[in-house]
Amino acid sequence: MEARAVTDDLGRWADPSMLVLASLADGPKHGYAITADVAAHVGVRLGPGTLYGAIGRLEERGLIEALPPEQRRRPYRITASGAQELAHAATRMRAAADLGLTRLAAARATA
Amino acid sequence: MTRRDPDAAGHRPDPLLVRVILGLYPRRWRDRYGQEFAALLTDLAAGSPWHARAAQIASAASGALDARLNPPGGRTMTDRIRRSITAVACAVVVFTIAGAGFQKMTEYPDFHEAARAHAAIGASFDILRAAAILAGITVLAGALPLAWSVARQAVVGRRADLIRLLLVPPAAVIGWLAIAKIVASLYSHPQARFTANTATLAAIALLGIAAAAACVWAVAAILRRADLAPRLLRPQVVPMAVLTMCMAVVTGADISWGLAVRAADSPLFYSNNGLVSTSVPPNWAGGVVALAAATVVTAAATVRAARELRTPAQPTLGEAAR
Repeated sequence: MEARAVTDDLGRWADPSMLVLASLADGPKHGYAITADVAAHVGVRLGPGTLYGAIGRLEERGLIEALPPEQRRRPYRITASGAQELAHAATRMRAAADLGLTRLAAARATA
Repeated sequence: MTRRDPDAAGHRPDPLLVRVILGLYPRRWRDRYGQEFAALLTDLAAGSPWHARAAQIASAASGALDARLNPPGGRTMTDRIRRSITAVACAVVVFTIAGAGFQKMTEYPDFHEAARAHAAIGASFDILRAAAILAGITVLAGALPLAWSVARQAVVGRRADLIRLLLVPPAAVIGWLAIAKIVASLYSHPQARFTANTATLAAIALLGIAAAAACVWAVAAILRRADLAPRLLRPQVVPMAVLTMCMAVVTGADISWGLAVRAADSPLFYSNNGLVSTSVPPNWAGGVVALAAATVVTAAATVRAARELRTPAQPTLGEAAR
């Protein structure tokens, strides 16, 4: 059986946390930049409460770390553990997406 | 310097709404994330349409609730027991209000006569009263050591905040009783219109809810701010367990009383001898629901507190991540 991921116990916070990790994967960002990035690339608008709920949990688990603030806006950076978690979660999501899409295509072909 | 002038670091004061939203978050959270969160709220609000801002406010408020329920760094065992005690305090307030309502309703001579004439009604009433008295004694036995410790800290430590908080519950209860008495005497009458008496009861109930909320807030704030030793908190499980049993007996006896009155004296049960001359069944049913809810909350809090005492100390999430 696959080892349990750190993010498996995030419950309803798993999706926002994954979005934050994905946003930080290409470099540090502060909260507003994360929100804008996720909205632009995924079409999901993270509310401020949801964003900081995810940031708090990710920081607690050592998946992101805070950088010195720039004019009150504090950037966050993904850690090595965070990058590993993101890769693990994204691989699982891709497997699930591939499974679903493949089977839907097969069902359509036989219909 | 005006309120809109920048501070020493060159930052303009946050808009009032941002400060209000930040105030919803716990102090530890604000110390860690407050500045950057305020900057985020200000950035998001700039240029956003009103419906987007409303969604942002709702999200921020929801985040505040989450931050209070799941604080960063997790909770110690003492914190968790403290939360259980707070939940029980809330339940006791609700229980007391429901009990006071029942006692007030059954003051009418018709109910006394029914209790004398019918054994089932009388027995239910006696059991309810005995269990309620025992519940009251149990609450005092559990609360007195905590109250004494808080009062000593307040006086010896000259803690004005604790003194103010200790005054809130008696002020709220006395104020509500006084206003309720005045409103009831001015507006209720057995021959009055149903809507007038119902409105009066609703007004008294709303004031009661406000007073109860003030008491609950004060008790929760005291438990958070006071320095209460674990040796004072841990034994609270025993009175909590006894209180749960008493509340269950009171609830059961209240249900039994209502059913007995309905069976033995139907005209009395369906009369307008309820509070402020309103109908008895909704008064009775509302009281039963409140008592049952308080019992369930107390039972759940007691089970949680007992589990905390049995479980060996676990590292907080922050410690586990390091």
